[in-house]
Amino acid sequence: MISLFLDTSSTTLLLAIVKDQKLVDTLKIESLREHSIYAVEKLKEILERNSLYVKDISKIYVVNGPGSFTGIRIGVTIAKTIAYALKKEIVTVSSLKMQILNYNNYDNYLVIMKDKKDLSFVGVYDKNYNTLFEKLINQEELEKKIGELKGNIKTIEVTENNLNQNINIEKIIEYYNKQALINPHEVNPNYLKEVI
Amino acid sequence: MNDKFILAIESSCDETSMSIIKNGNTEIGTVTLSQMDIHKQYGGVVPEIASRNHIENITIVLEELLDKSNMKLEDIDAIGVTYGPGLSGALLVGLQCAKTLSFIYNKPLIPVHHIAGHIYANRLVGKFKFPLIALVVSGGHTELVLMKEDYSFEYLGGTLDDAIGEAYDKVARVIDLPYPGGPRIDKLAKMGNHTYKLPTPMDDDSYNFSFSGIKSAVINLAHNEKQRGNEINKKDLACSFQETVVNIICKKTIKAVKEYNIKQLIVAGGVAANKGLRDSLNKLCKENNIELLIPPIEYCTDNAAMIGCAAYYALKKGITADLTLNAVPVLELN
Repeated sequence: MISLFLDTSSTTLLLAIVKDQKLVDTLKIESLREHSIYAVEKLKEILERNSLYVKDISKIYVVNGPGSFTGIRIGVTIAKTIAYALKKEIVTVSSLKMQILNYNNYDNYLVIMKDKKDLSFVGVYDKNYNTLFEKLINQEELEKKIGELKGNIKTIEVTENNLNQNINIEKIIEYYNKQALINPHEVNPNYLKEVI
Repeated sequence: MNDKFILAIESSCDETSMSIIKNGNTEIGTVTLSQMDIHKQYGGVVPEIASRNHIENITIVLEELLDKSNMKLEDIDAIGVTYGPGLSGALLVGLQCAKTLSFIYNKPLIPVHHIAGHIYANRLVGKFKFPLIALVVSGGHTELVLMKEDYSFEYLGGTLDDAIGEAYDKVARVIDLPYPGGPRIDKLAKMGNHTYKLPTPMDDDSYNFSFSGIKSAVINLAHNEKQRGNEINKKDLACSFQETVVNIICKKTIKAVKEYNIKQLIVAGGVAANKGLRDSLNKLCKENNIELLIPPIEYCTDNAAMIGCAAYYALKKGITADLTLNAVPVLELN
């Protein structure tokens, strides 16, 4: 079974091919806010160099945020278009939760991504990686949240520039493979931020 | 010759629209999801909200279109897409969808200029007779374009400041008409008289337009009347404004038609729905023995059918793009 992992949520465009839970190829480019130009082109490239066609993909794992609004819209549009047109399975991956899947044996996981001013995107997860909280909050709320956490805590700080620098794609696929599939029409960005 | 079916995608502003067009002039089906009601409460289009709505709607519109047209993606010969001008975040949703479809079905990707689309909306209702003049009037454009052949555009002149539709919307706001104000002014104008004296917009030898002066004059007039405690006659003000701007547009258009010895004038863009403008152009073209082509009102506003028509003629000229095509928010027509 061939899976495609697609992440355009940060400055690095990341594509990966996973075959039966084993990572077989990754393509990473610093496309400096130009994912719009390269994403489809690079998808073609990684498939071709693995002698694959789009129709060979069984399942798509797309990172849907939080992250760059424009960035996540690019990956999500490509992923939902393929999933709809070719009737492929699709799941969305949280850019915050994907940071913790390389770790285990902690009671709680805390992922913090600084936004503007004193706001941060914060994800809190239990020992089985279940989501307890994913929200944009201010410093005061963050401190309160940290105070509530008990036991052995793993804290990870990321920025919009390095969201996919320290992730384990096989672990992400392993975890999200067990999550519910989503109707392609309902695959949308998770901005965690209102417009107005 | 085999029939050619083009799937067209338009998402440059606040309409998510897709269409299947046969041979550049026959509409198989179009589905347009307008966000007008969402943006109305903000008094104009909010770009981030537009982008968010496009992505939520994109595959739903595609599915509705295929159902309605009773076609499969495999039946499509090429994909046409608006790549500019427009709102960057809005454009790129349609663009990524188009690029993805072009890639997975290995079909040509045709980049279409939004205004070329507006012009080609006229192919749904008639044939082009070259050379022709296209008058493009919308919320973002007021342009006179000379076409000597299909998909060739020579810019004669255009607005130096506000587009005509923009001026309409701003004037509407001053007299407290809800967004979008253009059609409401058009309606009120018919019920009023030309009683307010407004300055004539730039009336020189060029094919350029300027509407910021008359817009400011209306704003000042409204404020002054308010300060004096006088009630503005909205119908009369709408009529005065409409007659003044329509006059100058018609004057320059007819001048261009005569200078280039044109037999056909085509009108395009959202403001082509304006009744006052349609009536005046109709009258003038009859007097001067010029054929006038104006699309029906549903093809004047943004839609993908027009993009599908334009894409067909672009493809005939060999205009295609590779998968690195990007959205271009500010894009010249030529």
